[in-house]
Amino acid sequence: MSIQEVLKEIRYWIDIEGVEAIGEGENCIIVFISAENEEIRKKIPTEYKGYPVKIEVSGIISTQ
Amino acid sequence: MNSKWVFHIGYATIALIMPGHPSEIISLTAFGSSSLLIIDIFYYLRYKISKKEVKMAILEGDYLKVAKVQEDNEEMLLAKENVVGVGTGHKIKDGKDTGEPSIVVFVSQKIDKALIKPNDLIPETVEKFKTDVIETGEIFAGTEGIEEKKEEEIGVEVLRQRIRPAKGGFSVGHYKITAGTIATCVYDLYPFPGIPPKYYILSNNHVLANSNDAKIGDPILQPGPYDGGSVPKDIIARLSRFVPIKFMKPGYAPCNYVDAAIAEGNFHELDREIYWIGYVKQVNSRPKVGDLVEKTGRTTNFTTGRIIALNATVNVNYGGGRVARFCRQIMTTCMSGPGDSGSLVCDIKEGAVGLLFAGSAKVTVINSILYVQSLLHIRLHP
Repeated sequence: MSIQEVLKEIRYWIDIEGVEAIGEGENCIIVFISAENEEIRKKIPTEYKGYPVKIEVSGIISTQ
Repeated sequence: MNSKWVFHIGYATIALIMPGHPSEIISLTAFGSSSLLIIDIFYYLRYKISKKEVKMAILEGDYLKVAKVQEDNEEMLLAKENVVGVGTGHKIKDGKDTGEPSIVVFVSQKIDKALIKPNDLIPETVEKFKTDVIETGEIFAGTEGIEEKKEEEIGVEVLRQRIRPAKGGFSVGHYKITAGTIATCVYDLYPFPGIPPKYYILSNNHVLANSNDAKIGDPILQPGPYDGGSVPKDIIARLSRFVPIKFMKPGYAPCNYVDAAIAEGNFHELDREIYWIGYVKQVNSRPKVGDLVEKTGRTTNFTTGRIIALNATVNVNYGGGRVARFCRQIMTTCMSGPGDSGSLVCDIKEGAVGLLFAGSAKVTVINSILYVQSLLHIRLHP
Protein backbone atom coordinates (compact mmCIF):
# COMPACT_ATOMS: atom_id res chain seq x y z
CA MET A 1 0.00 0.00 0.00
CA SER A 2 1.47 3.38 -0.97
CA ILE A 3 1.84 6.12 1.62
CA GLN A 4 -0.68 8.20 -0.34
CA GLU A 5 -3.26 5.43 0.00
CA VAL A 6 -2.47 5.10 3.67
CA LEU A 7 -2.92 8.85 4.15
CA LYS A 8 -6.35 8.64 2.57
CA GLU A 9 -7.25 5.79 4.87
CA ILE A 10 -6.20 7.62 8.01
CA ARG A 11 -7.51 11.03 7.07
CA TYR A 12 -10.14 10.68 9.79
CA TRP A 13 -7.37 11.05 12.38
CA ILE A 14 -7.63 14.78 11.74
CA ASP A 15 -10.98 14.66 13.52
CA ILE A 16 -9.28 13.60 16.76
CA GLU A 17 -9.39 16.61 19.05
CA GLY A 18 -5.95 18.20 19.24
CA VAL A 19 -4.78 16.86 15.87
CA GLU A 20 -3.95 19.81 13.60
CA ALA A 21 -2.58 18.10 10.51
CA ILE A 22 -1.53 14.79 8.99
CA GLY A 23 1.01 14.50 6.22
CA GLU A 24 3.60 12.47 4.39
CA GLY A 25 7.08 12.77 5.88
CA GLU A 26 10.23 11.06 4.67
CA ASN A 27 9.06 7.42 4.54
CA CYS A 28 6.77 8.06 7.47
CA ILE A 29 3.45 9.55 8.46
CA ILE A 30 3.60 12.77 10.47
CA VAL A 31 0.79 13.80 12.77
CA PHE A 32 0.89 17.39 14.00
CA ILE A 33 -0.80 18.09 17.30
CA SER A 34 -1.69 21.38 18.97
CA ALA A 35 0.00 20.57 22.29
CA GLU A 36 1.65 17.68 24.06
CA ASN A 37 -1.13 15.36 25.10
CA GLU A 38 -0.84 11.78 26.33
CA GLU A 39 -4.45 11.03 25.40
CA ILE A 40 -3.79 11.80 21.74
CA ARG A 41 -0.63 9.70 21.76
CA LYS A 42 -2.65 6.76 23.06
CA LYS A 43 -5.10 7.08 20.16
CA ILE A 44 -2.46 7.18 17.44
CA PRO A 45 -0.38 4.07 16.71
CA THR A 46 3.41 4.31 16.38
CA GLU A 47 3.21 2.41 13.11
CA TYR A 48 0.44 1.98 10.56
CA LYS A 49 0.53 -0.57 7.71
CA GLY A 50 4.30 -0.62 7.73
CA TYR A 51 4.84 3.14 7.95
CA PRO A 52 6.25 4.67 11.12
CA VAL A 53 4.02 7.37 12.60
CA LYS A 54 5.77 10.42 14.06
CA ILE A 55 3.99 12.89 16.26
CA GLU A 56 5.11 16.53 16.18
CA VAL A 57 3.81 19.38 18.31
CA SER A 58 2.93 22.17 15.89
CA GLY A 59 0.73 24.40 18.00
CA ILE A 60 -2.60 25.63 16.68
CA ILE A 61 -2.41 26.47 12.97
CA SER A 62 -4.01 29.74 11.88
CA THR A 63 -4.01 31.98 8.85
CA GLN A 64 -1.20 34.48 8.77
CA MET B 1 -23.49 29.07 -8.04
CA ASN B 2 -20.55 30.48 -9.83
CA SER B 3 -20.89 32.41 -13.01
CA LYS B 4 -19.76 30.68 -16.16
CA TRP B 5 -17.09 32.27 -18.25
CA VAL B 6 -15.58 32.05 -21.68
CA PHE B 7 -12.23 32.89 -23.15
CA HIS B 8 -11.80 35.28 -26.00
CA ILE B 9 -9.26 34.56 -28.63
CA GLY B 10 -7.43 37.00 -30.83
CA TYR B 11 -4.50 38.21 -28.75
CA ALA B 12 -2.28 35.29 -29.68
CA THR B 13 -2.73 36.04 -33.34
CA ILE B 14 -1.93 39.70 -32.83
CA ALA B 15 1.26 38.77 -31.03
CA LEU B 16 2.33 36.81 -34.08
CA ILE B 17 1.69 39.59 -36.57
CA MET B 18 3.50 42.27 -34.57
CA PRO B 19 6.61 40.51 -33.30
CA GLY B 20 8.76 43.61 -33.55
CA HIS B 21 6.73 45.74 -31.20
CA PRO B 22 6.69 44.13 -27.80
CA SER B 23 6.29 47.35 -25.82
CA GLU B 24 3.37 48.46 -27.91
CA ILE B 25 1.75 45.08 -27.59
CA ILE B 26 2.05 45.33 -23.85
CA SER B 27 0.54 48.79 -23.79
CA LEU B 28 -2.35 47.45 -25.82
CA THR B 29 -3.44 45.40 -22.84
CA ALA B 30 -4.13 48.60 -20.95
CA PHE B 31 -7.33 48.76 -22.92
CA GLY B 32 -8.57 45.98 -20.68
CA SER B 33 -10.97 43.40 -22.04
CA SER B 34 -10.79 41.62 -25.33
CA SER B 35 -12.55 44.16 -27.46
CA LEU B 36 -11.26 43.51 -30.93
CA LEU B 37 -12.73 46.79 -32.08
CA ILE B 38 -10.47 48.73 -29.73
CA ILE B 39 -7.52 46.72 -30.95
CA ASP B 40 -8.42 47.53 -34.54
CA ILE B 41 -8.51 51.25 -33.85
CA PHE B 42 -5.32 51.09 -31.85
CA TYR B 43 -3.39 49.39 -34.60
CA TYR B 44 -4.83 51.64 -37.24
CA LEU B 45 -3.75 54.77 -35.37
CA ARG B 46 -0.40 53.42 -34.26
CA TYR B 47 0.83 51.49 -37.28
CA LYS B 48 -1.44 52.70 -40.06
CA ILE B 49 -2.54 49.14 -40.58
CA SER B 50 -6.05 49.16 -41.93
CA LYS B 51 -8.85 47.68 -39.94
CA LYS B 52 -9.39 45.20 -42.76
CA GLU B 53 -5.75 44.09 -42.61
CA VAL B 54 -6.00 43.63 -38.89
CA LYS B 55 -9.21 41.69 -39.22
CA MET B 56 -7.70 39.52 -41.92
CA ALA B 57 -4.74 38.75 -39.70
CA ILE B 58 -7.00 38.05 -36.79
CA LEU B 59 -9.24 35.80 -38.81
CA GLU B 60 -6.52 33.60 -40.24
CA GLY B 61 -5.62 30.20 -38.95
CA ASP B 62 -7.28 27.16 -37.46
CA TYR B 63 -7.55 28.86 -34.09
CA LEU B 64 -10.07 31.27 -35.47
CA LYS B 65 -12.05 28.47 -37.06
CA VAL B 66 -12.11 26.76 -33.69
CA ALA B 67 -13.05 30.04 -32.03
CA LYS B 68 -15.96 30.47 -34.42
CA VAL B 69 -17.18 26.95 -33.72
CA GLN B 70 -16.67 27.61 -30.02
CA GLU B 71 -18.73 30.79 -30.23
CA ASP B 72 -21.52 29.03 -32.13
CA ASN B 73 -21.66 26.21 -29.60
CA GLU B 74 -20.84 28.01 -26.38
CA GLU B 75 -24.39 28.21 -25.16
CA MET B 76 -24.96 24.50 -25.77
CA LEU B 77 -21.77 23.55 -23.89
CA LEU B 78 -22.25 25.95 -20.98
CA ALA B 79 -25.79 24.64 -20.47
CA LYS B 80 -24.38 21.25 -19.53
CA GLU B 81 -24.18 20.44 -15.87
CA ASN B 82 -20.69 20.72 -14.38
CA VAL B 83 -19.34 22.89 -17.24
CA VAL B 84 -17.87 26.14 -15.89
CA GLY B 85 -16.14 27.49 -18.95
CA VAL B 86 -15.33 27.07 -22.62
CA GLY B 87 -12.19 28.13 -24.43
CA THR B 88 -9.91 27.55 -27.36
CA GLY B 89 -6.69 25.66 -26.89
CA HIS B 90 -4.79 22.53 -27.75
CA LYS B 91 -5.84 18.94 -27.39
CA ILE B 92 -3.90 17.42 -24.50
CA LYS B 93 -3.38 13.68 -24.75
CA ASP B 94 -1.71 11.61 -22.03
CA GLY B 95 -0.57 14.84 -20.42
CA LYS B 96 1.15 16.04 -23.60
CA ASP B 97 0.21 19.01 -25.74
CA THR B 98 -0.59 17.63 -29.21
CA GLY B 99 -0.59 21.10 -30.77
CA GLU B 100 -3.96 20.34 -32.36
CA PRO B 101 -6.38 23.27 -32.00
CA SER B 102 -9.41 22.15 -30.05
CA ILE B 103 -12.36 23.37 -28.04
CA VAL B 104 -11.45 23.27 -24.38
CA VAL B 105 -14.31 22.59 -22.00
CA PHE B 106 -13.69 23.38 -18.34
CA VAL B 107 -15.59 21.36 -15.77
CA SER B 108 -15.73 21.82 -12.04
CA GLN B 109 -14.80 18.17 -11.65
CA LYS B 110 -14.33 15.16 -13.89
CA ILE B 111 -17.00 12.58 -13.22
CA ASP B 112 -17.33 9.00 -14.45
CA LYS B 113 -19.32 9.03 -17.70
CA ALA B 114 -21.72 6.47 -16.27
CA LEU B 115 -22.83 9.03 -13.69
CA ILE B 116 -23.60 11.78 -16.20
CA LYS B 117 -26.96 12.21 -17.89
CA PRO B 118 -26.65 11.63 -21.66
CA ASN B 119 -27.59 15.26 -22.38
CA ASP B 120 -24.81 16.49 -20.12
CA LEU B 121 -22.01 14.46 -21.69
CA ILE B 122 -19.37 16.52 -23.50
CA PRO B 123 -19.26 15.46 -27.17
CA GLU B 124 -15.88 14.19 -28.36
CA THR B 125 -16.04 16.54 -31.34
CA VAL B 126 -17.96 19.69 -32.15
CA GLU B 127 -18.27 20.45 -35.86
CA LYS B 128 -15.16 18.33 -36.64
CA PHE B 129 -12.97 19.90 -33.93
CA LYS B 130 -11.99 17.71 -30.99
CA THR B 131 -12.92 18.74 -27.48
CA ASP B 132 -10.60 18.62 -24.51
CA VAL B 133 -12.07 18.45 -21.02
CA ILE B 134 -10.12 20.11 -18.21
CA GLU B 135 -10.99 19.91 -14.56
CA THR B 136 -10.67 23.32 -12.87
CA GLY B 137 -12.50 22.93 -9.57
CA GLU B 138 -15.07 25.52 -8.57
CA ILE B 139 -14.13 29.12 -9.26
CA PHE B 140 -16.45 31.75 -7.92
CA ALA B 141 -16.54 35.36 -8.98
CA GLY B 142 -18.87 36.91 -6.51
CA THR B 143 -19.53 37.35 -2.84
CA GLU B 144 -20.36 34.83 -0.18
CA GLY B 145 -22.14 35.51 3.08
CA ILE B 146 -20.96 38.18 5.43
CA GLU B 147 -18.07 36.88 7.50
CA GLU B 148 -16.56 38.31 10.63
CA LYS B 149 -13.46 40.35 10.02
CA LYS B 150 -10.29 38.48 10.87
CA GLU B 151 -8.12 40.12 13.46
CA GLU B 152 -4.45 39.52 12.91
CA GLU B 153 -1.43 40.44 14.95
CA ILE B 154 1.02 42.22 12.77
CA GLY B 155 4.60 42.69 13.81
CA VAL B 156 6.59 45.80 13.05
CA GLU B 157 8.95 45.06 10.21
CA VAL B 158 10.09 46.37 6.84
CA LEU B 159 8.46 45.81 3.43
CA ARG B 160 5.41 47.76 4.52
CA GLN B 161 6.05 50.94 2.66
CA ARG B 162 4.35 52.08 -0.51
CA ILE B 163 6.22 50.94 -3.60
CA ARG B 164 5.55 51.40 -7.30
CA PRO B 165 5.79 49.25 -9.25
CA ALA B 166 4.55 46.87 -6.55
CA LYS B 167 6.78 43.83 -5.99
CA GLY B 168 6.50 40.45 -4.40
CA GLY B 169 7.23 40.47 -0.68
CA PHE B 170 5.61 43.85 0.02
CA SER B 171 2.52 44.68 2.06
CA VAL B 172 -0.89 44.50 0.41
CA GLY B 173 -4.49 44.03 1.45
CA HIS B 174 -8.19 44.35 0.71
CA TYR B 175 -9.40 47.68 2.05
CA LYS B 176 -11.23 45.96 4.93
CA ILE B 177 -8.37 43.79 6.23
CA THR B 178 -5.08 44.49 8.03
CA ALA B 179 -2.22 43.45 5.76
CA GLY B 180 -0.74 40.50 3.95
CA THR B 181 1.95 39.99 1.34
CA ILE B 182 2.15 40.16 -2.45
CA ALA B 183 3.32 36.77 -3.78
CA THR B 184 4.35 38.08 -7.18
CA CYS B 185 2.58 39.48 -10.22
CA VAL B 186 0.98 37.10 -12.68
CA TYR B 187 -1.03 36.95 -15.89
CA ASP B 188 -3.79 34.89 -17.49
CA LEU B 189 -3.04 31.28 -18.37
CA TYR B 190 -4.25 31.84 -21.94
CA PRO B 191 -3.49 32.91 -24.56
CA PHE B 192 -0.04 31.40 -24.33
CA PRO B 193 2.14 32.30 -26.04
CA GLY B 194 0.43 35.56 -26.72
CA ILE B 195 -0.66 38.83 -25.24
CA PRO B 196 -2.14 38.42 -21.78
CA PRO B 197 -5.36 40.40 -21.51
CA LYS B 198 -4.74 41.34 -17.88
CA TYR B 199 -2.06 41.44 -15.21
CA TYR B 200 -2.63 40.71 -11.56
CA ILE B 201 -1.27 40.71 -8.04
CA LEU B 202 -1.34 37.23 -6.53
CA SER B 203 -1.98 36.67 -2.84
CA ASN B 204 -4.41 34.83 -0.56
CA ASN B 205 -8.20 34.97 -0.51
CA HIS B 206 -8.00 36.13 3.11
CA VAL B 207 -5.67 38.95 2.04
CA LEU B 208 -7.29 40.16 -1.18
CA ALA B 209 -10.88 38.93 -0.75
CA ASN B 210 -11.33 39.27 3.01
CA SER B 211 -12.00 35.52 3.47
CA ASN B 212 -14.88 35.51 0.93
CA ASP B 213 -16.36 38.74 2.27
CA ALA B 214 -15.54 40.91 -0.71
CA LYS B 215 -16.95 41.99 -4.04
CA ILE B 216 -15.25 41.68 -7.39
CA GLY B 217 -13.82 45.12 -8.11
CA ASP B 218 -13.14 45.98 -4.46
CA PRO B 219 -10.05 48.16 -4.00
CA ILE B 220 -6.79 46.50 -3.03
CA LEU B 221 -4.31 48.70 -1.23
CA GLN B 222 -0.52 48.72 -1.30
CA PRO B 223 0.57 48.99 1.43
CA GLY B 224 -2.24 47.20 3.24
CA PRO B 225 -4.52 49.23 5.54
CA TYR B 226 -2.61 48.27 8.70
CA ASP B 227 0.54 49.68 7.16
CA GLY B 228 -1.10 52.99 6.32
CA GLY B 229 -2.63 52.23 2.94
CA SER B 230 -5.82 54.17 2.27
CA VAL B 231 -8.46 54.68 -0.41
CA PRO B 232 -8.03 56.16 -2.97
CA LYS B 233 -4.36 57.14 -2.94
CA ASP B 234 -2.92 53.66 -2.37
CA ILE B 235 -5.20 51.60 -4.60
CA ILE B 236 -2.91 49.32 -6.59
CA ALA B 237 -5.46 46.89 -8.03
CA ARG B 238 -9.07 45.69 -7.98
CA LEU B 239 -10.19 42.26 -6.80
CA SER B 240 -10.58 40.11 -9.87
CA ARG B 241 -11.01 36.44 -8.91
CA PHE B 242 -10.83 34.32 -5.79
CA VAL B 243 -11.30 30.70 -4.90
CA PRO B 244 -13.88 30.70 -2.11
CA ILE B 245 -12.96 29.09 1.16
CA LYS B 246 -15.37 26.40 2.31
CA PHE B 247 -15.57 26.51 6.07
CA MET B 248 -16.31 23.50 8.23
CA LYS B 249 -19.70 23.03 9.83
CA PRO B 250 -20.91 20.21 12.06
CA GLY B 251 -20.91 17.09 9.88
CA TYR B 252 -19.42 18.99 6.94
CA ALA B 253 -15.68 19.16 6.35
CA PRO B 254 -14.97 19.77 2.66
CA CYS B 255 -11.41 19.85 1.34
CA ASN B 256 -10.05 23.21 0.22
CA TYR B 257 -6.93 23.22 -1.88
CA VAL B 258 -5.97 26.88 -1.99
CA ASP B 259 -6.51 30.14 -0.16
CA ALA B 260 -5.84 32.27 -3.21
CA ALA B 261 -7.01 35.35 -5.07
CA ILE B 262 -5.86 37.78 -7.72
CA ALA B 263 -6.41 41.50 -8.21
CA GLU B 264 -6.05 43.23 -11.55
CA GLY B 265 -3.70 46.18 -11.78
CA ASN B 266 -2.06 48.35 -14.41
CA PHE B 267 0.88 46.68 -16.06
CA HIS B 268 3.26 49.57 -15.42
CA GLU B 269 2.50 49.48 -11.68
CA LEU B 270 3.21 45.76 -11.24
CA ASP B 271 6.55 43.97 -11.09
CA ARG B 272 7.12 40.22 -11.05
CA GLU B 273 10.31 40.58 -9.04
CA ILE B 274 10.24 39.36 -5.46
CA TYR B 275 12.30 41.39 -3.02
CA TRP B 276 15.50 39.53 -2.11
CA ILE B 277 14.56 36.50 -4.21
CA GLY B 278 14.37 37.85 -7.73
CA TYR B 279 12.27 36.52 -10.58
CA VAL B 280 10.54 33.15 -10.59
CA LYS B 281 12.53 30.99 -13.00
CA GLN B 282 10.34 27.91 -13.07
CA VAL B 283 7.46 26.15 -11.39
CA ASN B 284 8.56 23.34 -9.10
CA SER B 285 5.90 20.71 -9.56
CA ARG B 286 7.65 18.02 -7.52
CA PRO B 287 8.91 19.40 -4.23
CA LYS B 288 10.30 16.77 -1.90
CA VAL B 289 10.49 16.31 1.83
CA GLY B 290 13.79 17.81 2.96
CA ASP B 291 13.95 20.48 0.22
CA LEU B 292 15.10 23.92 1.28
CA VAL B 293 12.70 26.75 0.49
CA GLU B 294 12.68 30.52 0.85
CA LYS B 295 10.23 33.38 0.90
CA THR B 296 10.04 37.12 1.39
CA GLY B 297 7.09 38.35 3.41
CA ARG B 298 5.87 41.62 4.85
CA THR B 299 6.41 40.60 8.48
CA THR B 300 9.40 38.28 8.79
CA ASN B 301 11.21 39.51 5.64
CA PHE B 302 13.44 36.97 3.87
CA THR B 303 13.35 33.56 5.56
CA THR B 304 14.19 29.97 4.73
CA GLY B 305 12.65 26.68 5.76
CA ARG B 306 12.69 22.99 5.02
CA ILE B 307 9.79 20.93 3.72
CA ILE B 308 8.71 18.52 6.44
CA ALA B 309 5.49 17.07 5.00
CA LEU B 310 3.69 16.74 1.68
CA ASN B 311 0.14 15.80 0.80
CA ALA B 312 -0.97 17.12 4.17
CA THR B 313 -4.51 17.53 5.46
CA VAL B 314 -4.67 20.53 7.77
CA ASN B 315 -7.39 22.23 9.80
CA VAL B 316 -6.77 25.98 9.67
CA ASN B 317 -8.28 28.57 11.99
CA TYR B 318 -9.63 31.71 10.37
CA GLY B 319 -10.68 33.51 13.54
CA GLY B 320 -14.19 34.04 14.79
CA GLY B 321 -14.53 30.28 15.33
CA ARG B 322 -14.20 29.52 11.64
CA VAL B 323 -12.08 26.55 10.62
CA ALA B 324 -11.39 25.32 7.10
CA ARG B 325 -9.88 22.00 6.11
CA PHE B 326 -7.14 22.08 3.49
CA CYS B 327 -5.95 18.98 1.63
CA ARG B 328 -2.79 18.27 -0.36
CA GLN B 329 -0.82 20.97 1.41
CA ILE B 330 2.92 21.38 1.84
CA MET B 331 4.26 21.92 5.35
CA THR B 332 7.59 23.41 6.25
CA THR B 333 9.49 24.28 9.36
CA CYS B 334 8.39 27.65 10.70
CA MET B 335 9.38 30.39 8.27
CA SER B 336 6.59 32.95 8.67
CA GLY B 337 4.48 35.09 10.96
CA PRO B 338 1.14 36.95 10.85
CA GLY B 339 1.15 39.30 7.85
CA ASP B 340 3.31 37.00 5.70
CA SER B 341 0.22 35.40 4.19
CA GLY B 342 0.37 35.51 0.44
CA SER B 343 4.15 35.17 0.20
CA LEU B 344 5.42 33.03 -2.62
CA VAL B 345 7.53 30.14 -1.36
CA CYS B 346 10.30 29.19 -3.77
CA ASP B 347 13.02 26.57 -3.85
CA ILE B 348 16.59 27.84 -3.79
CA LYS B 349 16.71 27.94 -7.59
CA GLU B 350 13.79 30.38 -7.70
CA GLY B 351 11.32 27.66 -8.63
CA ALA B 352 7.85 28.51 -7.33
CA VAL B 353 6.68 25.88 -4.85
CA GLY B 354 3.57 27.36 -3.29
CA LEU B 355 1.54 30.11 -1.71
CA LEU B 356 2.06 30.62 2.01
CA PHE B 357 -1.19 31.13 3.91
CA ALA B 358 -1.10 29.67 7.41
CA GLY B 359 1.16 28.55 10.17
CA SER B 360 1.95 28.32 13.84
CA ALA B 361 4.98 28.87 16.03
CA LYS B 362 6.40 25.59 14.68
CA VAL B 363 5.19 25.13 11.12
CA THR B 364 4.20 27.01 7.97
CA VAL B 365 1.52 25.77 5.58
CA ILE B 366 1.67 26.29 1.82
CA ASN B 367 -0.77 25.70 -1.03
CA SER B 368 0.77 23.85 -3.97
CA ILE B 369 1.49 26.34 -6.74
CA LEU B 370 0.05 23.89 -9.29
CA TYR B 371 -3.38 24.16 -7.66
CA VAL B 372 -3.06 27.94 -7.39
CA GLN B 373 -2.30 28.30 -11.10
CA SER B 374 -4.97 25.86 -12.15
CA LEU B 375 -7.81 27.14 -9.97
CA LEU B 376 -7.16 30.82 -10.64
CA HIS B 377 -6.27 30.19 -14.25
CA ILE B 378 -3.06 32.15 -14.09
CA ARG B 379 0.55 31.75 -15.03
CA LEU B 380 3.60 32.68 -12.96
CA HIS B 381 6.26 31.71 -15.42
CA PRO B 382 7.54 32.40 -18.02
